[in-house]
Amino acid sequence: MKNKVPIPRLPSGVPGLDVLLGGGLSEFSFNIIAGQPGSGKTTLAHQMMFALASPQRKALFFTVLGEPALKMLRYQQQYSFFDTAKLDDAIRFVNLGEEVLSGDFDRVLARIVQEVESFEPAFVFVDSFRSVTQVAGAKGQPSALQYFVQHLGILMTSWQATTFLIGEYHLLDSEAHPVFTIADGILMLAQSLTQNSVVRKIQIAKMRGQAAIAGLHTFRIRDDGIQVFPRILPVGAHERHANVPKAARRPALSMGVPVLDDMMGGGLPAGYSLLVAGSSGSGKSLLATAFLAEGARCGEKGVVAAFEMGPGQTHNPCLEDLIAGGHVSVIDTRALDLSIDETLFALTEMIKTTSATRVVIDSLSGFELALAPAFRDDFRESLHRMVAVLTALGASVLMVSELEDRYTDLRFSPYGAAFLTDAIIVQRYVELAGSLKRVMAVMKMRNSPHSHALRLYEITDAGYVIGERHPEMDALLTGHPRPTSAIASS
Amino acid sequence: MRSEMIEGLLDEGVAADAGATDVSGATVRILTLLLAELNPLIGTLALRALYVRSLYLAYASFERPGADRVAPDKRLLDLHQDLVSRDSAQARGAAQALLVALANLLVSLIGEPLTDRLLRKAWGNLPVAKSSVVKSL
Repeated sequence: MKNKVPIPRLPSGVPGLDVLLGGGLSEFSFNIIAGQPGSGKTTLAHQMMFALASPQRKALFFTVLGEPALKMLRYQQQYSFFDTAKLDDAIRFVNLGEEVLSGDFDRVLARIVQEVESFEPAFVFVDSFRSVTQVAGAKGQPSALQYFVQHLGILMTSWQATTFLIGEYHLLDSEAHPVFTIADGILMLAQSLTQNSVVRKIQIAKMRGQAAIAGLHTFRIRDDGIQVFPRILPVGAHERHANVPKAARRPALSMGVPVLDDMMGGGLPAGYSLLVAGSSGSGKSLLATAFLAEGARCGEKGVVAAFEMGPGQTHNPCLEDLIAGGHVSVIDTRALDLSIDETLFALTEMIKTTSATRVVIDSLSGFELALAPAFRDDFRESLHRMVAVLTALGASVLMVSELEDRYTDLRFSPYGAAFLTDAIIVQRYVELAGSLKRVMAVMKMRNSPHSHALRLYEITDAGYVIGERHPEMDALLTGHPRPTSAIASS
Repeated sequence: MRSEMIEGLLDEGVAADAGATDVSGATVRILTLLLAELNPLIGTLALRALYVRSLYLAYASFERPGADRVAPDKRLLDLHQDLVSRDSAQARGAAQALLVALANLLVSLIGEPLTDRLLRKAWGNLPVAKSSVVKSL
């Protein structure tokens, strides 16, 4: 349609939220922020209000009968977004308790209109509008909710005010249906308890006139307010595997282990994901450190998400030197209720900040344990998203995975990560002449020629020393190695 | 500083040799301005609760044996009657204690920046407030 009305999108001031909203909040829209008590509704409303309000575009915040205004001011000012300099000139709080308690909703609406006429706000917030309807119900006015919200919606839209009603509602709440029908936008907040872990999620249940991103997305409330972690794939990530450039066209990154580079056909193509699967003690973390150290030697920055130890507890002097020297940055993984999107956000921010090109995740098992239980069921899908996002940023990603060493059943990772990655190196123990020997092989290198040889290797003070194939024995992975000559003669 | 400011407001609003009636008049005027500023922000219920708590805190040291407590439901009228029944010095002390208690109560709940902002808005237009006592907030 030609000459359609343009709807300006207003930045919400909540990191990550505008992505979910499809660009920001619609100007003059009538929105509902709903969720159970403690889900962060008032904090979200305040954060948006302090971001949106200015002396030219003022905001009115009506408090009703929910959280007492004194307490709200007491607690909300703890957040860094609460800017007292904006009070009065840009933001005004008004209590409607007396009007609401009277049960006369025309009086409530009249007071709102009076304050709006007087202050001329561009943004209006009512917290909590459910209190209004509860008083109405007590006074035998069952349709008061619809009446109140409809009239408020008409009035506020006429006043060209972008409006937010805050209430303790759930999407399935039948009482709220009329309100949800009237609203242009619905932001649902929830916090769910799984085992001992609480996870906060936000859903844009409705957003008229713009392409909001559906589904549940995690968020965290910190000292600086709410941070949303959108559960999205970067543009083109779906097509990535189909259209992945020939490895030969990409520069190859050295792994820091010379023979290994040869086995991989020259190294790891830039922007590839690599799964290093190996038995406990087979040197996976050392290989990851060599990968980062080689990057540092070449002037490349690295990022490591080490889930199996805290910062400063790596027990890996080389890695500690890399961190101390500023060559490698560490993602804080100490929280026990991480979401994969939060971790992904931390990784991508660190990559953008440091221009890092090498990323190590050590290990997938530790990562899964660090996640809130609610996210473990989706771990494979989440890994897929993480690999897609990181490689789309141009980073080369090395993921470490514990290999359950069963001779007859070669599983690279319990998460199906082998399918997700571009390359796989496997490290195993084999028994030879009464002792355990380490062997490794490049199992997969997408679109790139590579060696298929099973090579013996040792870990010395100097690092990895990769030897040749075992000259006399074959069928090492079966658990029943045989002399090569025996196979040749059979 | 807040206590000094309130003392300054009373000093400038009431002559040193003024009687209890003048002290009460100035006190009610100062108090009314602050309550009017608070009312739309926190609502009547919370306002009444703050006032009662301030009276309780302030009058702990200004209670007189045999005298009735200031009844919160009668609010400012009752306060006026209580103050005028005292001698001038006592009335001034009780008034100051009440105003300081209310201000400190606000500070404890919503912090200094918000409280000072409210006091400045409430008392900024008083003639006495044109002096440095309010501006210093």
